[in-house]
Amino acid sequence: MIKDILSAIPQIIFGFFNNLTFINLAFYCFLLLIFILYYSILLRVRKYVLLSASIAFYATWGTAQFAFVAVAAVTAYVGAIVIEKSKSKTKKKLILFAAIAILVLMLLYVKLGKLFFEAKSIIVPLGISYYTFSVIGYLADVYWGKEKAEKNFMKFLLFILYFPKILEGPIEKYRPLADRLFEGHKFDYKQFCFGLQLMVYGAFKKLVVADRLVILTNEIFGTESYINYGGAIVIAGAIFRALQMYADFSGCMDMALGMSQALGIELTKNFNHPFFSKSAAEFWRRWHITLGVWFKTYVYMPLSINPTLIKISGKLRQNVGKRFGKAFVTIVTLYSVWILTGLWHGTGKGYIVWGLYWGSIITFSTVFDPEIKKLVGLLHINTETKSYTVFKIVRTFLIFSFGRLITVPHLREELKKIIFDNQPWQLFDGTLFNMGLDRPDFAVLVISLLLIWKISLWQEKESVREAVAGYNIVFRWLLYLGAVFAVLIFGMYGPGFDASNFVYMQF
Amino acid sequence: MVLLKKIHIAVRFFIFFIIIVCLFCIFQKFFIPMWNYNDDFYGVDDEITEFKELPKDCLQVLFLGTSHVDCAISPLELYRSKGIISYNLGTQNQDLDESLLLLKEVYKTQHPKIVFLDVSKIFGSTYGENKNKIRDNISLDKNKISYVLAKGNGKSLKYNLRNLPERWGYLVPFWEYHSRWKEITEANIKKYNKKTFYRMGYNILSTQVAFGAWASGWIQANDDVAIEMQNRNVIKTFSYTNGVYNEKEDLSKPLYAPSICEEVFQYINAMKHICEEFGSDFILIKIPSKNLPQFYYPTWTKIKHDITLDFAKNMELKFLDFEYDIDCKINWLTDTHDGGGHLNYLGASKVSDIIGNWIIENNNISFNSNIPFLEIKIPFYDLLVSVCELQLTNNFSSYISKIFSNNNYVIFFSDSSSSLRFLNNSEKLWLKSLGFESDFNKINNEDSFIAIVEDGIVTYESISNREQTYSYKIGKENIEIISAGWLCGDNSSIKINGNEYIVGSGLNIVVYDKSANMVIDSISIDFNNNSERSVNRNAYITGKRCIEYQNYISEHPEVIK
Repeated sequence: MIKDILSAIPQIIFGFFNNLTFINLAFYCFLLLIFILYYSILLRVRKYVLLSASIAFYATWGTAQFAFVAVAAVTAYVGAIVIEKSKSKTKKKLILFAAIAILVLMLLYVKLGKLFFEAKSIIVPLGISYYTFSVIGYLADVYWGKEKAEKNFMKFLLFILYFPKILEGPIEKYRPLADRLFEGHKFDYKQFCFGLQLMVYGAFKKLVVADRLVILTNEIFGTESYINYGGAIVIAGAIFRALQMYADFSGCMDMALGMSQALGIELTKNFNHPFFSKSAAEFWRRWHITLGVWFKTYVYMPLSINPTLIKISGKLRQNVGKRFGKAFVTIVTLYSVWILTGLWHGTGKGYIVWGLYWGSIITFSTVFDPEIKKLVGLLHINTETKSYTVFKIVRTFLIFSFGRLITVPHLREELKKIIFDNQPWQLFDGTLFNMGLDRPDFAVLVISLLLIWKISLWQEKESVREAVAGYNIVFRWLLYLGAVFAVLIFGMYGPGFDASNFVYMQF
Repeated sequence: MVLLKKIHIAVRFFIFFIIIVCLFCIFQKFFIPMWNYNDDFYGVDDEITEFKELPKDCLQVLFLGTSHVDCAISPLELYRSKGIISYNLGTQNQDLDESLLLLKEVYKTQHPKIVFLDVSKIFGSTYGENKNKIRDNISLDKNKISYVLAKGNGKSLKYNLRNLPERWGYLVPFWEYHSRWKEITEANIKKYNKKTFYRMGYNILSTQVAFGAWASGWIQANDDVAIEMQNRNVIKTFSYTNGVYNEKEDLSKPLYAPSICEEVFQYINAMKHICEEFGSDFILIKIPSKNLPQFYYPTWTKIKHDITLDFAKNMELKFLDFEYDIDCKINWLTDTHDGGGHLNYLGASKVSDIIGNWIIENNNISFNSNIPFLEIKIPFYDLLVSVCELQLTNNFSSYISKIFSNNNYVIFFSDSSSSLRFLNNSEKLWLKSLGFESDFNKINNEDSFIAIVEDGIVTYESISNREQTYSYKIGKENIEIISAGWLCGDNSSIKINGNEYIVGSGLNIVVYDKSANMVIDSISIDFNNNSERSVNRNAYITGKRCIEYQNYISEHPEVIK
């Protein structure tokens, strides 16, 4: 027996530390090990702990995946140095496009590979969309002279692979993060505790809320399941899906930001209570912030000052009208950004339509802003009232929720259900409790959502963690213990549950 | 100053961590399901807890195995009649790896001279992973870890090691049971209340289902059928796939081919070596069980007997077959709980006696008496036995004698079908002698009858030629009795707090225990065409009542004054 155990130790380690994500038990053993190692060695070598940990984390997903990311890292690293050294602008441009082409090709292989190869044979590197965008941004910055090319490959590799952000971002700009990663950080008790608290909150969102909601959304939007339900349930499903996406993605982000903060490294905030947004544009400034910023910096802005577009716009101003000429650039740039955003989320035509849906809403509200304001004035709507604010928040939430319907399978049938076969009584006759979540689970879900809503309101006013830190130790510890055990008891994990992976990991 | 701050932080983390661990352990305890309240088996929780409470090194004999041994050997009977101190660690569907785990647990505190293992499971291949009753009752140590790592699932140890994360729940039950938060009731907290244990692991059964009762109209599995099945080695499979009817013949497998697999050999060998190491005799036994209507894993046949005999010989182990080699004089009409599968108290008494004799005759085991921890258990055990004996009494006059002699009982009578008119003269006279004033000679087709007996005295009786109802109160319990004669609706009802306790037509008798506040038995007897004067019972309900009474005694030690 002992012989068997000893000989199996490598297998145990590889079996245990396999496909790590933030919801594996093994990951928390891994993280504990990293915390201990990171804070127990010399300050100047701490960066190597982070690098080794990030490589190890990535390697748990397979060596082929690691080779993929290594090729991307070498391409961007070499590309940036050559761009910087090149004197000729044309050569710089050529290398930039070549490097970006390699990176985009690798991304397209993953996204569209299933059209040409057997789906199973396609290597899907972890976080490819996130690190590809990060390094494309880095290359563009070097090209524009906003950023110096990194000479230290270790530093560059750590920036790409840094394990808290590799799963779902945030999509970071190179310099500030790379420097923070490489400088080594002293143990800061407050930051460490704040980081752990954020992680627990993230785990709560993911394991208690998102993984409960996913049972409902899988049931409603799963293959052929829609046959069983009326349109009212489909509408409820769209709302559940929106809440699930938020709890899932923002939960993952909280965990990523939290663990990074515990290591002394602040990552960029990726969510800022998007469901409090009063308009579609504001929503996207609060949801997946770093993706929005990336598109703004590397697509929207360059397109806005594109000479060809400006030239066409000038001609249109002269021939069609001043306003249309001005709107033309806005329309082209916004639609370009949103089609690309759609494609970033998925490759089906549904995602292009989804991009057009958002592009249309935001373009319409931007271009026709004067008319909308005029209409509001004509209708004597007081835009300063609380009820109007609530209306705008609800409207934005519904726009987001129903937007997600575009990407569900059987969209046409689901829409038919909503219009012709609504069956609103299904919301009250107990049908909801027969979809995989019973009444107690529903109660936990509702209470948890209310809790998140309340905490979000609080966060809008001040830092909740700072506020809680000011309480007496008994209350504070009770709160922390309550949060930890809420996740441990009500979390959807362990035998009988298939804790689903993070939704945004697939992008 | 910096060092002080560091120490302060470290202490804070440490305290917080300790609080989390403590709370985790407390939650874990409450989240583990209770394995005590099965319908008809002594709960594993209680059985293992009772074992853990035994004085150190007190056992001479240990029994391991499945439910067959669990309900066939009464250690307190062995102690009382043979002076042997033993414990029965048989549990429902106990796999051999669980037997091994329990054996290792036993040797932490006990060093029995003889270890008996029932072989019902050696032909099984059901080493299921989802068995947690025993696992949940054993604390985490190296034995449990090795059990979890090797827990048979048809895969190699290395496979199990690689997939260790799948088994976290085996090691840390919270992982597996945390989602039980919605099932937690007061009972989960109560399960940690102090209990009195008094059975030494014996699972007493008081129901009586005669052999063959389940199988009427079906081929009864027996040795002849087994041999015939063994000779039938052609497997014919007809399947209908995609509109095509397929016929497949497999000449390689006999229809009945019991065999002992390598895994069984390993477990038995491991148990043998542990017993040798501690100087104990390891003996294989087979508790009598009649062939059931189907060949399920413990169904015992001559073929299995012969294979086991060879197996034991090869392993240099003794094998005692109480089915084929030693006659326990089991009456398969009265001594079985479920038509031959398990023995009830009557059968267990016989097996305990025979096995006790064998132990005394073949081993150097000292006679024990006045052992304090056992003497304390005996009055509780006797109280339970008295109820079981009542529940196993089939004859009307014996039954009436028993219930009249116990002053704790309140007995309710309600007759339907005017069945009392079929009493014979001697019965009428005998009932009169017990204190019934009614003239049973005058009962006609339309007459109903209600009576109540308390403290062995008839306190109420009434015969009427109309349907009659009578209400009664015992403490907070409301009793309503209805009786209607054959020509007046032919009805009978005895309700306690609205719950009906009637069994069938004829005279219904409900026995209520005043001190336990529960019904301990209910029967009916139709005197028409029933020369045997045998009573009817619902076996399932009787089994449940036995369990309820067992638990009542455990939770109310004051019943023994």
